[in-house]
Amino acid sequence: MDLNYVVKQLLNGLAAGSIYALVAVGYNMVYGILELINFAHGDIYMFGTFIALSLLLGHVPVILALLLACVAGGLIGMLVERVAYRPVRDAPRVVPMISAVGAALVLRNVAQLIWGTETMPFPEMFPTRMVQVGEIRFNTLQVIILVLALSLTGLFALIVRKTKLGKATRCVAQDIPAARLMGIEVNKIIQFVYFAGGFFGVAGGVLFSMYYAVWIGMGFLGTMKAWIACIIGGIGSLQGAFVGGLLLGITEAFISGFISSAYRDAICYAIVMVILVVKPTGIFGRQIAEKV
Amino acid sequence: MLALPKFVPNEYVFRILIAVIIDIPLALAQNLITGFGGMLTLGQAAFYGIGAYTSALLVLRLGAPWPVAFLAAGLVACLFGILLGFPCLRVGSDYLTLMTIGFGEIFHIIALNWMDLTRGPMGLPGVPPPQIGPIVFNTSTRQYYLYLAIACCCYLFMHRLTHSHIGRALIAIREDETAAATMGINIAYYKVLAFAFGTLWAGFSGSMLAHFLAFVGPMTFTLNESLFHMQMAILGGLGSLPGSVLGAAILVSAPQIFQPLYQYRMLLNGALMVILMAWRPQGIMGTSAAAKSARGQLRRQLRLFGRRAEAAGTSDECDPSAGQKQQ
Repeated sequence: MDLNYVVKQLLNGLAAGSIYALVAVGYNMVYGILELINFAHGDIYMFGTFIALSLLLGHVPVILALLLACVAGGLIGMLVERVAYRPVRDAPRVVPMISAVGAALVLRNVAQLIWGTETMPFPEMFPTRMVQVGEIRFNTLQVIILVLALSLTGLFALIVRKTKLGKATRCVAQDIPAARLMGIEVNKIIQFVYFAGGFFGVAGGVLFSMYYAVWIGMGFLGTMKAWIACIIGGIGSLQGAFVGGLLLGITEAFISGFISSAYRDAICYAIVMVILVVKPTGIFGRQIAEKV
Repeated sequence: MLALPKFVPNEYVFRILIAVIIDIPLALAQNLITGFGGMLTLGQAAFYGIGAYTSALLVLRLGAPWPVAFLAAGLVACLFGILLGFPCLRVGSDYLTLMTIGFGEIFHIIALNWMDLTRGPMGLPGVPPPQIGPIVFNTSTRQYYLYLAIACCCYLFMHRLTHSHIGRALIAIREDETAAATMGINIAYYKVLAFAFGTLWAGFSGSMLAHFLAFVGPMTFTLNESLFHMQMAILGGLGSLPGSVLGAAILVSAPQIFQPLYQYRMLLNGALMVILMAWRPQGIMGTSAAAKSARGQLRRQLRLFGRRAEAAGTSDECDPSAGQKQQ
C-alpha cells in the first residue's frame, strides 16, 4: 500500500471529519436538551448556507455575510423549536418526531422554491493553492477548514463548559422540572440551545459547502452524518460527538479510497447499525436509565 | 366500489384510482407498525422496493407466473423486515428510526449501483401485467378489480390482526411498554410480528406497483416515499384502519385534483405533519389514544407536582421521586 495515498486519504478524512464534528457537537446538544431527534437540524444549516451564498453573491463583505447567515440559521432553529417542537413537547415520543420530520420537509421545500434544485459551487472566500510538503501534496483549503472547524468547536465547548448560560443549559438537560424550580427559565434556555445549534450548524454548513458544494440534499445528508457521528461517539457526550465526527470523516475517506465510493454511505450505515446493536452507548456514552 | 368503473370518465382518473388502491396497503402497513406498534419506521419504501424488484425480476428473468412472483414479493420483503426487526428491538425508539432510515438508504444505494441485478438508474422496463392462469389483467378495469380484491384482503387481514390478541398486545406495548411487560406480554415477539406483517404488505404493494407501471426504478423508493407512507397514516389517524384508507385516498388524489398544487405537495405534506401533530395528533379518524395519553402525561405530571408540593409542605422527608428525570 502506498503510504502517501494513505496520508492523503487521512487528510481528506480529517478535513471532512472536522466539519462533521462541528455540526455533530451542536446537534448533540440540541438532542441532549429535550432528547428529541432534531430532524430539521441539517435542513436548518442548509437554509443558512444558502442565505450565506446569496449574501456573498450579492457582494456583502465576507465576514458580515457569514455572521448574518449564522444568525439567520440560529433564528430558524428557534422558530422551528417554537412552532414544531414546543406544542408537542409533552406528547408521546412518536408525535414530536413526526412533527420534526414535517418541519424538515417544510424547510427543504421552501429552500427548493427559493433556490431551486441545482448544485451550486460556493464562492471562494480565501485564495487556496496546492502545497507540497515532502512527498505529500494537499490543498490549503483543507488546512483552513480543519483549523476553522476545530476552533469553532472549541469555542462552542467553551460556551457550554465555562459560561453561566452553558451551566444553565446543562442543568436543563439533566432535569427540566428541577431546573425550573431553581429559577432557570427553561423555555429561554431551550431557545438558546436551538439558536446555538443553528448558528454553529450554519458555520459547519458553510465549511462543508466550501469543501464540496451547495445543494438542497445537503441538509438531510448533514442530519444523518451528525446523527451517525453522535452515535459513534456516544449520544449526550460533547467530546464523543467530536471524536465521532472525526472518526466518521476518516472512515468515509478510507472507504471511498480503498473500497468503493458508490457504496460509501451504504457501508457507513451498515457500520452504524452494527455499532447500535453491539454498543448502543457509543465510545464515550453512558447508559441512560429509561424512565419507568 | 365494485360499480365505480362505470362512473369513471377516463383512463387518467382510472389510473389515479388504481394508484390509490396500491397505496392503501402501504398506509395500513405503516399504521400497523407506527400506529399500533408505536415504532416510527421511516424505511417502508425499502420494503416496497424489495417487493417491486423481487416481483419484476422473478417474472422478467425467471419467467415465473404472476401469483408466484406476487407471493414471493411479500415474503422476501417480510424476511428482510424480520431481519431488520431483530436488531431494531435492541435499540431505543429514536435509534429504531435511524436504523430504518439507514436500511432505506442502503437499499436505495444498492438498487442504484448493482447494475447486473437491477440495471441501476435505468431500472427494469417491460414488466408484464398480472396474469392468473389464462386471465390476463391487461386493462385498467381488470387491474382495478384485481387490486381492489387484494387491497380488501389487506384491510380484512389488518382488521382481524388488530382486533386479535396481537393487536391488543401491540396497543398495550404502545401505551406503556413496562406495564405491558409486567402483564406478561412478550414485547420483542409482538414488535417483530408487527414489523413482519407491515413489511409483508409493503412487499405485496410493491409487486402491485411493478405490474401496474410495467416499470421498476430506484428513484421510486426513496426516503420521500417512506415519508409519504407516514403522511398517509397520520392524516387518516394513527391506530385507525379506515383512517389509513382515507389518508391514502386524499393524499394520492389531492395533488392530481388540484393540479397547480402539485409542485407544492411535499411542502404542504410537511406542514400537514407539523400542524396535525400539534393540533390533532389522532388524525381525521384516529382513536384518540395518542391524544389521550398526551393529556394523561400532563395530568400525571401535575399530580406528581401536587404531591411533591404537599410532601414539602407537610413533612421534612425528601421525596424520592424528586430527582427522577421527566420528559
